[in-house]
Amino acid sequence: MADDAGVALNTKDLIVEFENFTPVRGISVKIREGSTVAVMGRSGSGKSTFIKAASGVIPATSGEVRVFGRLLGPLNNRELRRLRKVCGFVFQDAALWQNMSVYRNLALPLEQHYPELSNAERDKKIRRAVERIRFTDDLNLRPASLSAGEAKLVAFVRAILTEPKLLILDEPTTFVDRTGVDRILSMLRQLKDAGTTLVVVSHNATVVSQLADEIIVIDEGELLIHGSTDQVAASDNPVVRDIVSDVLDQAATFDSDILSLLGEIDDEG
Amino acid sequence: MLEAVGERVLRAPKELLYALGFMVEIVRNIPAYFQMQRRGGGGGVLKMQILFTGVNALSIVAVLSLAIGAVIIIQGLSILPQLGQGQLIYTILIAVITRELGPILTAFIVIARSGTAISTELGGMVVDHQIEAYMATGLNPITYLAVPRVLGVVISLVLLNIYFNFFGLVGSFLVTQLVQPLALEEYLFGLYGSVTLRDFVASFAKSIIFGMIIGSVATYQGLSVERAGTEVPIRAIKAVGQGITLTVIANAAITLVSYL
Repeated sequence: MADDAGVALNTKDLIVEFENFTPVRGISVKIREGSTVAVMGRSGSGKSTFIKAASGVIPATSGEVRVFGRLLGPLNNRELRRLRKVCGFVFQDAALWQNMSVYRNLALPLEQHYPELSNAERDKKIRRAVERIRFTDDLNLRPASLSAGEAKLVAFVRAILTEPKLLILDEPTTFVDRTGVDRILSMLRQLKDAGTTLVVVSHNATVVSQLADEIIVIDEGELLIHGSTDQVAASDNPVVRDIVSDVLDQAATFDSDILSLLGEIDDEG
Repeated sequence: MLEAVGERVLRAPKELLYALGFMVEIVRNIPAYFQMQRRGGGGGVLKMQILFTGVNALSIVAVLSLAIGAVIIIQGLSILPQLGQGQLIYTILIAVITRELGPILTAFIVIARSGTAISTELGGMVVDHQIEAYMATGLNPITYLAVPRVLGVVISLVLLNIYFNFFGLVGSFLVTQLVQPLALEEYLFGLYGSVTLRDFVASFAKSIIFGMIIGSVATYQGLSVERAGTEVPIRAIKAVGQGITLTVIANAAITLVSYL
């Protein structure tokens, strides 16, 4: 338990096996509270399965998962609910509940975790979040009427509404247009500044380069490297370099843009 | 080939045992469901299930029970008087409609309509990761999704059984009017003289147990879909097969216990 002080997510020898294949093969990582970690890897490398098992959304075949020091597995319904309140999850394909309206999709987690809120307070919270992300005016729509990008934005809002301390995002910007990505990035920066631990699976170099303090690289279900962006950039493993090269290029461009912007400001000053 | 057949034969009882274990899990989660309802969640699922399984099936149950009641009375009135046992028609009506056909036929209708619908809906939710989204929100899919569906099926089946009995016996009376007119009073008195409390208890016990079986098997099969959309129809077919098998076995067992 003492080892887990200041650790948001800790996996030990995590293995996930399905009938015909093993997408996660013994991954052990510790993610510090307040850090932002990008999980990267080729398509089909086991990233999504890893984060789902690491957050207890799917059961692990073996290994240990601790979220804020609490061992997942032997928790009863009430303990699991308490844990879920502090651990949000954005699914790769949005996973909105199709049998209810967009509004109910957003209200249900709040009802679950904040039963003390009145209807008016809950409504205010939902409207405020929707306004910040600006995805649709009609919250009575069914998810089937939304585009994939809009559904993703709803899923993002659903996950952040309960103000989790650990937010796990599986490809949060896929299908989302440029302005939507900017809004998600801006919200994620605010959450990061507020001390939320972020774990982001993403192929989007902009998202990773602008947010991540650390990078985890997974290949064929195994952990290749987990370290700061500088440590990962210095890796001589060709697979790691191949996977993160776009991110490093983007980060360099981003840094030079910032430097030139600062230079311009200096010149004007 | 032989090995594959053997494997399938061995797998079937294992699946049935899993489904029964799942039923126990559902019963264990019923208190948690009512706790959740007190917090304001899950009531809609129960209402919708009763609407779909019970209310929307009323017309088909009415037609079926009227027709079957009519057939029994026509056959009975043509055979029994020849044997000098005309009065037995009431006993036969109660034995066939109330004790046996009411519970079992409504169960078959519910298996065909709601058993397939429940397993298909839940299977689709697994494939779309909606079940994972419930888990990620801290909602137990068994408490939130399976329990209200099973309760909805149980309540609907009891109501449909009452409805079947009513229409089956009224149907018999109407046909009697066409074939051999009888006073309503005489008909009701005949039925009253033939029915026992045990008939009602056995009939409703059957409906409750069949509802538990059908709901549990359908939710179990739906939630057993693992990844692919192609698994969904396979699980729906299994829900029907297992539902019918377990219902027929339970029917025989309850009849044995009640009347032997």
